[in-house]
Amino acid sequence: MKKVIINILGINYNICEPKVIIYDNNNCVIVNKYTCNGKLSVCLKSKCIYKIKICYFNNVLVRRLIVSPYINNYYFNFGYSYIPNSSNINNVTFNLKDFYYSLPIEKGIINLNE
Amino acid sequence: MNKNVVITNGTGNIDLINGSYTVSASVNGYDNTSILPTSINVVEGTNEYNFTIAADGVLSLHVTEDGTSSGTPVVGATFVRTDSNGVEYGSVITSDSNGDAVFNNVPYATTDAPIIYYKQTASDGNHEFSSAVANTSMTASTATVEVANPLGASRTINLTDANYANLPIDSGTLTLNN
Repeated sequence: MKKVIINILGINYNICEPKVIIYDNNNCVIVNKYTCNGKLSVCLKSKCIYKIKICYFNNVLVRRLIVSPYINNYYFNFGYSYIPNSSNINNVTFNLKDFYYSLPIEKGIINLNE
Repeated sequence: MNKNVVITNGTGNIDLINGSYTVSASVNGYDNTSILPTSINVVEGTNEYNFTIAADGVLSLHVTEDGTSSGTPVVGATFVRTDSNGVEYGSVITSDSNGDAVFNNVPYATTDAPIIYYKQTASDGNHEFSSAVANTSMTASTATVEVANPLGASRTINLTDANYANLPIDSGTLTLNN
């Protein structure tokens, strides 16, 4: 096994991170994670062939991934044409108040999961 | 995909694409499972969304003449929650026959507990009180704060005849309203 970094190019990480799914030669899912700033570190076997599926919004990129013992970084280019229409991006305001008092909450975090 | 919206003084902003999202919260002192709504649909043209969260602590304000747990209770003192600037929120609470006025559903936390602001808006008419914004924080689900409402000071009122200098009025009543 060796640690390799999957790099996804051609996307806007500020809007959305792509999801990376890697299948082994039995077509079993061995990785199913979102990238961080378009990068994902995974452990794979050298000299093995995998199938990698990259999902970004409604678009899917499927490629063959051959892990070389000499290469640690693997790049997949989504292409800028896949950046979603900017009209779908909104600067959204979230207001959080106390249910019983309507007092604005001084500090906290709202977590959104798509 | 996870997105965190940092809330400061009740508001946070984020660039977000349209879509459906499940919502959770991380607010110290509050019951994070009480966030409402638990899902939103972000749509074009609507860029503001409102949420509420609740706490379940109980803060008792014990109002007595000397501000001690054994002091004479003051009945009818009123209080209201505020922010740090004194802006009032929620309903007024009133001290009962034991001198207790109770804020339910207030936040508490063992560490970094949120500050709870409140102020007294009235007493029973016979006692002095401070209307300044007070604050406390709770590290347990219940807490009691002792509040002093001392008896009004004794004042001397003089009533003399307007046409005969310094001639005291034998008997009568003056009524003062505020």
